[in-house]
Amino acid sequence: MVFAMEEDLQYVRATLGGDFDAFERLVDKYQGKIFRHLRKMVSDSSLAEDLLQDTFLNAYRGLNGFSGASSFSTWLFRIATNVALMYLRRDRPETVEYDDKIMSELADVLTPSPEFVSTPLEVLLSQEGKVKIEQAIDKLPVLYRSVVILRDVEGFSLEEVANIVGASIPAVKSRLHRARHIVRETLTSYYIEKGSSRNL
Amino acid sequence: MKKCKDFCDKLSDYLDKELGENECVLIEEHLDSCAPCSLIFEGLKIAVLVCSEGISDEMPDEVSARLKEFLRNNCRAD
Repeated sequence: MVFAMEEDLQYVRATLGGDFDAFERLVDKYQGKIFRHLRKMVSDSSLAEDLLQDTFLNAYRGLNGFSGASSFSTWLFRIATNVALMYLRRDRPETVEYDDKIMSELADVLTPSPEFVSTPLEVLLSQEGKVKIEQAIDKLPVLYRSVVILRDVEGFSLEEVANIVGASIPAVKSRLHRARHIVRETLTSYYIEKGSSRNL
Repeated sequence: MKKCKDFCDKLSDYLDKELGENECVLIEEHLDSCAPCSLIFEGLKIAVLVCSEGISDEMPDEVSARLKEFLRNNCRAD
């Protein structure tokens, strides 16, 4: 981790010194993760590609402003998140608006399911299982989706997620709690239904 | 007397190791004695696990190629 951060800093310094190849090393390292983050935020691969280009162009142009106070990856994900949110607020404002009360009520649905917890991991992570995971995440409002991706997929700390999305840590915890329960509930319903159709 | 929902409301923070020792003990005691909450907790752990493993970061080669070309054209022009 420390090595990775030091390596990123070296690439940043080299880029600022005029070595464009060093910037391409950073692109190679982070393009897949940033593309995944954007694809999940906007639910559209073609649009995510445009935003990916904007993200790296903004990063290149703003590299002088990278102070090293956070890791390069945190800084880059913050740029990507802002690029996606700016697009969504301008072109699809309804997708950014969400009702915390509705989310709270959704997250209050608690279905204990032996069917889900006893499903083997290789089934959960099969091609079909992965489609269901993607769909479960896509059902969430974008701000909830982004914290699940950043925390549970990318593995950022709560503090880093708060930094990236520009929210307080309690707000991130609250969104994460609701989002995780909704993902669990969506997958639970699917595997209960799947189990009952198999038993017919 | 805490209700099951009160415990379930803390399971996400519990997974993230964000709770104090006393709260962790209370949750663990409850999970040991409450089968429905224990199933919900197991489900939550699995949901977090499959999210971490199930969303691919593979990206089509042509997307990467177009990104590189875009950056070469736009960054070097700066």
